[in-house]
Amino acid sequence: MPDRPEGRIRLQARGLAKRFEFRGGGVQALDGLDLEVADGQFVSVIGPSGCGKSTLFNLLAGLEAPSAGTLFLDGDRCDPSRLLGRVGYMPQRDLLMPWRTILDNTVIGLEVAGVGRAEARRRALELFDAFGLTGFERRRPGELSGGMRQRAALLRTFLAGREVILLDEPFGALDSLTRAGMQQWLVQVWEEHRKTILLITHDVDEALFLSDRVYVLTPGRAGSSWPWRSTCPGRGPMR
Amino acid sequence: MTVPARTDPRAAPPLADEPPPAPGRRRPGLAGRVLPPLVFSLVVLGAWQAYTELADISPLLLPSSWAVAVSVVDNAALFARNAVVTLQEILLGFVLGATAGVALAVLLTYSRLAERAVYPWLVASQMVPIVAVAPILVVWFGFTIVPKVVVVALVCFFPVVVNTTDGLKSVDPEMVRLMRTLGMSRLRIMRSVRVPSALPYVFSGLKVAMALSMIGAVFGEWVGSSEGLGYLMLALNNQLATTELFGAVLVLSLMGISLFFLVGLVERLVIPWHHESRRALQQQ
Repeated sequence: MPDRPEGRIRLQARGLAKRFEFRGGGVQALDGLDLEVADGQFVSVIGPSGCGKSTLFNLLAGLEAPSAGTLFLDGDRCDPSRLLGRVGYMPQRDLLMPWRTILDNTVIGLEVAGVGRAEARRRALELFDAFGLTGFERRRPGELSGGMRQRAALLRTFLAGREVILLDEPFGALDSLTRAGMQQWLVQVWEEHRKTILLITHDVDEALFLSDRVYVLTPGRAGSSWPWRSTCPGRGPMR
Repeated sequence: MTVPARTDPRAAPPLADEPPPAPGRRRPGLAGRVLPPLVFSLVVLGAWQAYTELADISPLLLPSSWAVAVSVVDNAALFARNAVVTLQEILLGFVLGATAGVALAVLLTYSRLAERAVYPWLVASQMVPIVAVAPILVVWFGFTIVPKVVVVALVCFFPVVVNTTDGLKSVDPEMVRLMRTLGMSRLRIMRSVRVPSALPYVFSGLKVAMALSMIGAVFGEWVGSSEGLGYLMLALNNQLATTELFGAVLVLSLMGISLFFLVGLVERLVIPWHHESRRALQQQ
């Protein structure tokens, strides 16, 4: 492992809140959330449906603006527009473009960043083996199984070169056997590449298995502030 | 469940690589695809032939199917000459109308302002009956190819705009969000995400447009022309040459069917992934 200053905070949220206003009321999706993810850490956020997990990720990815609170990336205070394109994001569905081959799907992030086609493909192909996609470079997403598509989607996120990656229930749609294999594999990939990962899941086992640290979000009653925080040690820092 | 202890990552079990979906239902072969329509056509033509002969129908009212076929062969040069004229009108008008339709749809989707400003006009343009407009076009452009091309373009335009607009809007919003997190600009999302995902819709629109363009071309010729299948039909009708009239209809139908399938063929070439994924879905 290259010697990196372990413990440096990469992503931090302070007093983060999000309220959605509707006609005749509103929903407080998040209220006063503090969270921090250190460099190279694997952190999970768990909680039941409707506790604001996805909202949290949309805020962290810069897709939505918080109603209150501040976000820091590498110590810099960030507006949503500045987060956009800096935090890698992988939603629950693979969202591979059906008209592109797997290879061309995985290089999208590099393409957007202006990397040349040949260079982008070379970098992608280097990782195809580790992501278990060898032999499927020229296939289209429709020809792949759910697990493989999910790995291709993760490779797309990895290749985009973001240091902080948000995974929104990446294995939620997979059957439990495939899921267990994917979890093991994710740990392996993470250890090799040492990305900073924040994972949303509603699966406690998954969170415990994968993470250095677990945040639990709990929905409170509407109108009251939502007590969200309790951290428990996961399997401890990896060494 | 016990939490599995982490060991050396390299010792992690290999991933269960599920094979891609196996080819399930067999696709019909060439014979399976050609035979049913062929047999059905023969049955219809046979019934037609039998009816005209058994009921002793006057050929002025309904010629037998065999007589129609013979008339097409006998007048092959005449039909071919006029078919080429009509084909030109259809192709020019279709390309013009479809191009304008796709371009306008992209503009309407890209700019809310343009959508609000132009959409009422777009709908209104379809309320104006072509029947009323076509004679004016003839007054403006004479007995040239132009009025027919314009009529064809007008009838092609609307289904293409509506379908393309629907297609551009049907893009998975999650996909757009994902691309935004990758740093894609709006213009690039339009080009790389919205347009490709709209293509199946565009082709639906093009198929409808192609079917309509046949009617458009014939109608354009009826209003004022000196050549083309539509003109020929009018002339033959006036001469009570019913058999030849049916021949002209037959030629026009064959042309229409060919053009329609041509659009389908282009669709398969341009968006093969659409048919692949549909087939994969059918197999699951």
